[in-house]
Amino acid sequence: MPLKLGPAGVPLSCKGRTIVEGMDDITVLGLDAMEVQTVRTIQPQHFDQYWQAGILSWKSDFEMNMHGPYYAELLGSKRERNRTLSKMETSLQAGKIINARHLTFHVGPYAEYEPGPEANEQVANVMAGVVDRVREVWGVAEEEEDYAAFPWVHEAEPSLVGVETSGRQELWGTVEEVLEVCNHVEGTVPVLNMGHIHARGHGRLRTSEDYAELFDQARETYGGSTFYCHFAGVEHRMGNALHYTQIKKSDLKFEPFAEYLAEEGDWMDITIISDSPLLEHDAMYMLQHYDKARQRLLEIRARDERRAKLAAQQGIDPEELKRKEEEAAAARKAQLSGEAPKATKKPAKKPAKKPAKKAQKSKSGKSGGMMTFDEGKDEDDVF
Amino acid sequence: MASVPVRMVCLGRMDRSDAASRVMEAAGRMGVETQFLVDHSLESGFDQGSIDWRGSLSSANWLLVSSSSVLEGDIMRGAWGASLTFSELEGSKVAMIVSVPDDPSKMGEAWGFVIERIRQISLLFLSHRALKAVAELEGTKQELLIGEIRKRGMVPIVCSFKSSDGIAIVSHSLGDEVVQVGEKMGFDRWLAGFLCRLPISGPGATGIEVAARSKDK
Repeated sequence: MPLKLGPAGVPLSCKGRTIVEGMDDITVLGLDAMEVQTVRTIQPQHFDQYWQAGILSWKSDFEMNMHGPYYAELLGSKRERNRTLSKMETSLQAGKIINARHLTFHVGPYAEYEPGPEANEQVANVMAGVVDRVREVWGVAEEEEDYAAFPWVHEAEPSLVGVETSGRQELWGTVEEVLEVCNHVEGTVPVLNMGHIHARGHGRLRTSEDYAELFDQARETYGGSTFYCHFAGVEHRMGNALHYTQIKKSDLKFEPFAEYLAEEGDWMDITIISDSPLLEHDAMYMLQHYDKARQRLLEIRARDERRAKLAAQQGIDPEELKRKEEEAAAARKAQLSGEAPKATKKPAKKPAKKPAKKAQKSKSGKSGGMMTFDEGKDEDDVF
Repeated sequence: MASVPVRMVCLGRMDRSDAASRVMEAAGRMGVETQFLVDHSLESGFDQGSIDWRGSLSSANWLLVSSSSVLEGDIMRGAWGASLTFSELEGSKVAMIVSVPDDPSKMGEAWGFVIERIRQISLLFLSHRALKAVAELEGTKQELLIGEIRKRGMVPIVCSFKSSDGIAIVSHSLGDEVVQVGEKMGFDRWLAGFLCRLPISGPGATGIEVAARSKDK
């Protein structure tokens, strides 16, 4: 399963503050993706950095992504929508230069719309326009010479337009809404912000089964296998995200997600971006948990294979062998825990000298204060 | 003055002319235990490597930082970023004070840095002038800005103070408060008092309102 992990922005521990320096640091940490934040107006001087980052990502296997404006009002008045679209235009131009695989956009408040098909249709129309615009700016045949140094503009697929889930009730972007729009607009991809989904669902993501349910829902309605996710700890109340926290401090845990990805994520092409306050630290925390989950799965599979082989050799059913192994393990456990004194006596019989000393000490310990010290020392040795 | 059981750490300019240092000095006068990370007496210049982040931040309630500090060269920028990260790791909350820099044309740059780190900020204070400048940058109405920043940036508390009227505007996860403090004072005094009272004024919206209204200034 292709899984890419990285932080949302230049790593906190990065001494430099440019995107390329950030990419270097991310690679050193063993991560392979980054989301560039264009939350503020993009200044012309940023474009130099973007070209360099684009070239680096094209030459390496590093996935670049871009996050659009936070202040989106796509369902607002014409003026508000146009203002958001002009910010989005800057993001998608920058996305082309940086070789972004995904461009993530918020939709914003429902404004005059009621949640439902009408709002979704409006979002779908706007997003279809954005996808068309992305395709227009990528790979213009007349510009091929101008972009000769930046081959991805003509050789790579244009960025996918990501539609992000929202973490508040008054903002458009439930999982259902996002999946419906992505299902109807080709070139879009759902951006599943797990913190938002968890908050909006009153803490719905707790077990690996919850993640299985979420991705089954995505598979059934959206149909694609490419996913772009954000993950961070979140504090939430009444179905609204209050603020992001480190993963360790939140009730949204990564372990169940890692377990799901390791066990059932083979069909997915997934990128996970850490937008926790501890950007790259939590991205690495996620990577470690994913590796652990995979390791555990491999161990289970190896044990099952060994059992099947043994069962075949012995001519019995693997299930029966499993039962026998479990019984033997339980008996062993009972012996160890229930008969602890025996266990200490047993080695006492073999090395005859030590227990003899022990016995002497315990006897003499009662009469002489000097020996109590030795007794304590021996107790320590036992443990 | 009786001491307040709150500890604050400040990353500000050596000459204490920045907004965070001013708030810190006001807090000091209220009896708060304060620590400046950049020593007043440093003559050889500031070295980020000499700061004991863990030791300084481990038991602090607040870390005070100015948005304009990030514009003061690579060393300060590095320290600025590091302070936010260590603060997150050590569990002290970050109070970011956004004011218009000495060179107002750099407001966009400073605000860009703040937005990049918005997830690490627990309390964002915008001076009255900064409120105008940021509203212009974001293309939104000044009166909506505080609430918008809180919602979109998921900052627990965003606030501002109008010194001439003694009115504090506080937006938090449980609602919005407009508090008439009843006394004209500088933003530094009001914010210092607010920060002092927040950890001890009790939970919820009432606690925040009590802290914002605090007369112990």
